[in-house]
Amino acid sequence: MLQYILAEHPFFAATSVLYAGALTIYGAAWRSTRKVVAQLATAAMCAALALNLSLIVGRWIEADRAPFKSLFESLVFLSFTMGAVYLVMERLYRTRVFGTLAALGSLGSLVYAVTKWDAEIVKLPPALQSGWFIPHVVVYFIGYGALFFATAVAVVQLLASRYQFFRRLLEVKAGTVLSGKALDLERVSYDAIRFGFVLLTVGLLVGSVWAKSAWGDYWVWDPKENWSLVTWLVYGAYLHLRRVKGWRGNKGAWLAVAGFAVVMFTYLGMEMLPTAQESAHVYTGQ
Amino acid sequence: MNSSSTSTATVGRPAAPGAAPSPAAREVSLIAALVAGVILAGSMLQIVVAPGPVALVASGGLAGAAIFALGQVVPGRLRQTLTGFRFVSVLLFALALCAVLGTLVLQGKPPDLYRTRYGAVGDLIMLLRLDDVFHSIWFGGLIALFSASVLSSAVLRWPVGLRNAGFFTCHLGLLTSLAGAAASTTLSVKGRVDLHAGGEHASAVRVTRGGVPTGEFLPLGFDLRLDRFDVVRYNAEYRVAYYEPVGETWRLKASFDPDAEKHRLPGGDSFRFKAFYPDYAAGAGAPADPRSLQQAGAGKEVKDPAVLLQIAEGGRSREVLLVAREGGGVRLAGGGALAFQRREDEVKTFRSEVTALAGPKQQKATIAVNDPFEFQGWTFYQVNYDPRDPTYSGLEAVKDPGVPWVFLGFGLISLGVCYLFYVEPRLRRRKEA
Repeated sequence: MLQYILAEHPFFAATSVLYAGALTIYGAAWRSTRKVVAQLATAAMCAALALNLSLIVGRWIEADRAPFKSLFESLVFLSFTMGAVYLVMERLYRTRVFGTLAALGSLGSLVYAVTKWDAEIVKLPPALQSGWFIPHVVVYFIGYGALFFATAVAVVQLLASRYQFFRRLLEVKAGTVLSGKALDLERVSYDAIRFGFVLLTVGLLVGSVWAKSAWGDYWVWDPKENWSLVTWLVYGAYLHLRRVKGWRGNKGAWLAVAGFAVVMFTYLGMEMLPTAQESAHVYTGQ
Repeated sequence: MNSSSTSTATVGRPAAPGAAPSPAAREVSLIAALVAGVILAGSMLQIVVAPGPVALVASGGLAGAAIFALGQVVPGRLRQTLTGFRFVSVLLFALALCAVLGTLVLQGKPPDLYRTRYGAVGDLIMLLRLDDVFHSIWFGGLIALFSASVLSSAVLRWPVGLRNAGFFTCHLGLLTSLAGAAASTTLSVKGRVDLHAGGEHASAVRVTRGGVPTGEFLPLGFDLRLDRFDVVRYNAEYRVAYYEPVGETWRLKASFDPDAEKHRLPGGDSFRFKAFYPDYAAGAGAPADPRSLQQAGAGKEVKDPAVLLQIAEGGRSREVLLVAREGGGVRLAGGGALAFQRREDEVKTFRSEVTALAGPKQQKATIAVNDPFEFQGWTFYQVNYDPRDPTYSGLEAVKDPGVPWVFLGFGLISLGVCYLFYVEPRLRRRKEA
């Protein structure tokens, strides 16, 4: 399979290599105090994202439709949104501490996509030929990207509470932390979850409006709908619990991690459910 | 906000023997009592009251109104709990668990299926209405608590100013959506209209509940005629497909468009297109450029296509002619197989051209998936076709007065959440500055 991908899909292979490169250099930037190392990491991530975007655009042209139909296509898009959201956050918070985890997420998504490789480009069925299709998917996947970032921050927060190495990471003056200020990880994670929650809300509601126009029902308690609601409810609970004393810090971080586990189950785990056959949303073309 | 007392309290610290429990501990006890109470009361009630849309909405609405009123009339712990972040968090988790439960147990199936599938547990599932979680009265009880909590929290923000409009709007949106959903549950009518092109007019809807016909027919109030029905398919495409054996069957692993390039196969072998015959017959047919096969999908006529492939496997090379009509393939040394075949014709869209006839008034429309047709309060959706009967069109007819309220609520929730998270903090910072 690897030879086939290298020969037939060199851009896919190159994107993966660039994410792996970014992962390595971001990792090196954890240890190095030389600014050029960290800048190189960002450059590698930008290059990987540019190539990832070219994969999406290329597929869009080849398939003559938005490339969000199959699980493989959505994983390639998820890889892009995780990386893109991270780069925005890197700029916003002036830190490269989470670059390793972001590159790992994007690379992991592409590696998993290899196991779900599309044997051929699938045509778009009538229900997906809707003006709501692209906004629904794009909004959700940017939301997933934000929630992944929030989880990466929460993971670093949890690790920093236990290991000296991670505590030191957050105090590095050059390279990873550009602002020179100590990071409030809990706040960064909360900001990303807040952003992700807004997108989950819009995505869920756009999905309902679309379902109404396609099938006449805005909500049918389909397993995927239910789990999308579960995701929304769990993050809703996170945002409320944050106002209850004792729920910030590690408890909140664990909840953020649990929330993303629910997101991933909603995205990838539907086939495991005993009611999966009842769902109109389980990915096809795998 | 009055939840400040709850949000600053500490939970989990052991009280000294004989000491009064902390406010937070008392709040946790009250939350547990409320949640367990409504679930228990709902479960008991549905033994004597047949669950269903009306029972769900009536019990949920009454319980919600009663809890809210009690919270308003009796100040103190109950009101504080209802408006507290801890309470709503617990409810959100409880509702999430219900949603999960609805994906673990099959919903809305005939009773026999539960006994067959779950054995002795099947009866318990039926008794607790786990076969229809979202129409059970105990679920209605949780929605009642949630509504009471949302309403109490929203009322607490009255009067609404610029600096708290987001929270209020978001919660008002939730209530509007819930009210719309209640209207949908009790007042909506859904059903099927089966039409045949050139056949009789439809004047009634075959009512369904949960997609299953109830046996009831409801007059439309006008006639609907199917003038024409089309199933549009994607253009025919041919491919060289690579299959790998999986147990007793073959699984498609890769598909290749004709071109002049050498192609690597997932199994390690490779091949190249040598020639393409758009109209192959034994011993006849002039070869064409393989790339011209791509034009077949763009409307160019291909009658009896075949391809000549040069396959490289295990260090040796051979030429193989594959004819699409023969459907066969060639086994490769690496264990896979190559075949030249026409892809299945996939449906691109199906659409009905209909005329609605209401006395002298006539209206023509085209109904397709994602493109419904509204007439005199009914909305018609294209949901079905029959590959064996090209004249048949299956439409879903819906009359749902709750929809505008649900969507209005959705809009308010989206606006409210954005305002709450991104405008209110700026306004507060500006004031502090």
